[in-house]
Amino acid sequence: MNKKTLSIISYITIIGWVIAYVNYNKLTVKDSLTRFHLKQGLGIAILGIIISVALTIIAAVVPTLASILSLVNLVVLVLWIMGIINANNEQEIPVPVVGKLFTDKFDFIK
Amino acid sequence: MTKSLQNIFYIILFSFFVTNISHAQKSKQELLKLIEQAALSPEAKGDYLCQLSSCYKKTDTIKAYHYANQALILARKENDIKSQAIAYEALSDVARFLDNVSLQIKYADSSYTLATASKDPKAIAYANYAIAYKNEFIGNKEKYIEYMLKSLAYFEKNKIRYDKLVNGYENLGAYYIDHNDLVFSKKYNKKALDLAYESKNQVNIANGLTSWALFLVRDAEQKTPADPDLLKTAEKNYLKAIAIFENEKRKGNIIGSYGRTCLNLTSLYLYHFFETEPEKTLAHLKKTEAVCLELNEPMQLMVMYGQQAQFYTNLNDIPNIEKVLKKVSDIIETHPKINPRYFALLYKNYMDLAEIKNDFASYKKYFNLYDKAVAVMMEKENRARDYNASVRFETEKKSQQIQLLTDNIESRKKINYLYTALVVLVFFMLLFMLRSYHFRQRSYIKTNLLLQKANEEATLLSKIKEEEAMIALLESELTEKELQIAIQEKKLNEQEKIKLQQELMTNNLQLEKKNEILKDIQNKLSTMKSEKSSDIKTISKTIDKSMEVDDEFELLKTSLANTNPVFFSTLQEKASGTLTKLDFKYCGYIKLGMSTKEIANHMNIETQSMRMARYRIKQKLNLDRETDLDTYITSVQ
Repeated sequence: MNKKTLSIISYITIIGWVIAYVNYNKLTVKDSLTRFHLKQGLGIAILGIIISVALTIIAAVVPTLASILSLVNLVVLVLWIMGIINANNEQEIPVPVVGKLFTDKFDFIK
Repeated sequence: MTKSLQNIFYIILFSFFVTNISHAQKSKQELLKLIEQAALSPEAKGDYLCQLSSCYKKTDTIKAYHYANQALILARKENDIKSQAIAYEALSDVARFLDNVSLQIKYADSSYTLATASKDPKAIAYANYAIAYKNEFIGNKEKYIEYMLKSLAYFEKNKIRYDKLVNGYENLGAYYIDHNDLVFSKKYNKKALDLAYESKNQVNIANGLTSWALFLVRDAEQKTPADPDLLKTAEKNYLKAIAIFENEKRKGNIIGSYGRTCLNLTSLYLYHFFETEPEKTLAHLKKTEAVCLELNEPMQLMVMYGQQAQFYTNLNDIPNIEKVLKKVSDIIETHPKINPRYFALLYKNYMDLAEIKNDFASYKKYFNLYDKAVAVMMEKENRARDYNASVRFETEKKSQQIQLLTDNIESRKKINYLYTALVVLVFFMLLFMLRSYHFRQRSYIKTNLLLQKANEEATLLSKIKEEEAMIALLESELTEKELQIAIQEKKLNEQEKIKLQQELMTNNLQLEKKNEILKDIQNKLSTMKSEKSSDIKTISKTIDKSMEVDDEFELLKTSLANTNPVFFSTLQEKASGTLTKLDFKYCGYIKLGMSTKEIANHMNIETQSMRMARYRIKQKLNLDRETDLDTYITSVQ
């Protein structure tokens, strides 16, 4: 798999991220594009998990808000798609709003 | 007494024809055969079972209930909501004939709920039929008429269940008779008759005829005395109906409504033809008794005995009256479920009878019994009224709840639509946003690339320019050097020229000197002429020759002209062409920087003449007195 494909796969939920990460680790020549998008993808996946947990708690407390709050999950999807677009264009641009938080974290991805 | 008996009779009669008997188009045997068929769809089977139930509902309610229940079970097994609704309607109808109001209402409600859930027009029509009877019982006139008409409109449109159609229109007609609205009554009775003829079912026709005759009697009674023509037509209709029933009876079908027709005909004779045809009235009474006994219907029997009592009262035949009343009381005792109103009426009649016979003891006895019966009746009626009210209240509440629920469902539907629209909108907006994000990034990348290219080009250009500037600088340096070199060369040239001129001058001088020496030698030779004249002459000749040949001036001039060509031309210009060769010679010497004396010496002339020559040159050159000729000539290039 080339670097572009790996970058795109790293955004397709946490499963896709794991596949991309394993494949990336096998590579002898690491490239910055895949590393960048692996960081972004992991960041968004973790954010999604946090959001869904928070929403479940809120929905349990205030059931009337549940249907409206479930729309927030859509944000994660949108971020993922934006990341995929970035990867497809082979750009090292962080996703809007939260992307900058992940650029200097997750140093275990070398 | 006549009055009270008439009371019994009317009350019984009305309650009787309002709760009419309906008849199926197909006979019971036909229906039973149809049900036995193996290849019958469950829906059709349920339909036939319901029809069978409606056939039996008057004569054998248990069987009717059984068939309706079978239809319901079948529908439940098939999980068919609309068939369930129809089966519930049949059950409700059976319950109506059992006088079990609560059950009737329950079944009607079930039927309606299921029918509305199934949204099947047929099921809704059946349910409306059941609901109409429920409303009639509750006393909700508008709703009864509304639901009945709705239901009948469907049956009429699809031409099914003519028994229900005829029955329904008959009941509507009877309802309007009760409310003294003969216009509508006529309309609906007529319709019932038309539909009965359309159904081509003999029983339906007979029922329609009976209803039409009833309406005609009622119409005739509007006038006092009653319209004899209308009464005659009514009688004819009754007789036609009876003929049909007789015909059916001969075929083996005993039909419940036969009794009704007979009773109504007898009452017609009793009230309108008693005076004119008492024998005929009696004959009909006997016949009716026979029919009623055959049918064994307590209500019909009671009405029949009531008519007999009326007849005997008209004849004032007391023992017969007593006999008849005894029969009525027997019937009441054998059927304990009968309305207590009949007890009260019976006791009232006994009381009247005792009054006629002046039998106080029995009068008192019957009065007490009457009192009790009335109390029971009142209580029952009160209870019934309470029940009616409660049922009415409940139905209203329920209908309100249903309305609320439907409103709720509708609002929920609207909200659902709104949500769906919102979701679609959000989806498209997201799609659009992401698309624009993608393309913006693309264009950003493109412009970046272009910018990079432009930058590179710009740097290249600047580099080229710098190089060009460097080259230009170098070139300019080169030219400067060249210039300097040229200047130096020029200087060198000039120096050489001056050197050459000086050399030339010195050469000239040397030549002059030599010439002088030669002249000296010539002079000396001439002095020595006398001695050796011939030899010397030759020598002097050679010297002269050499002197003439040696035209030094020309040489000088050419040498001067060669070295400084402008010099003589400028001088000539200044003097406007007046200078002679000699003048040029002087000028040349002056240019060489020789003094006047030196020149005079050199030219071998007097100093004075040299001065004169100088003066002439000065004039020729148009010079002022103050300007020195020497300086002027040296200044001329």
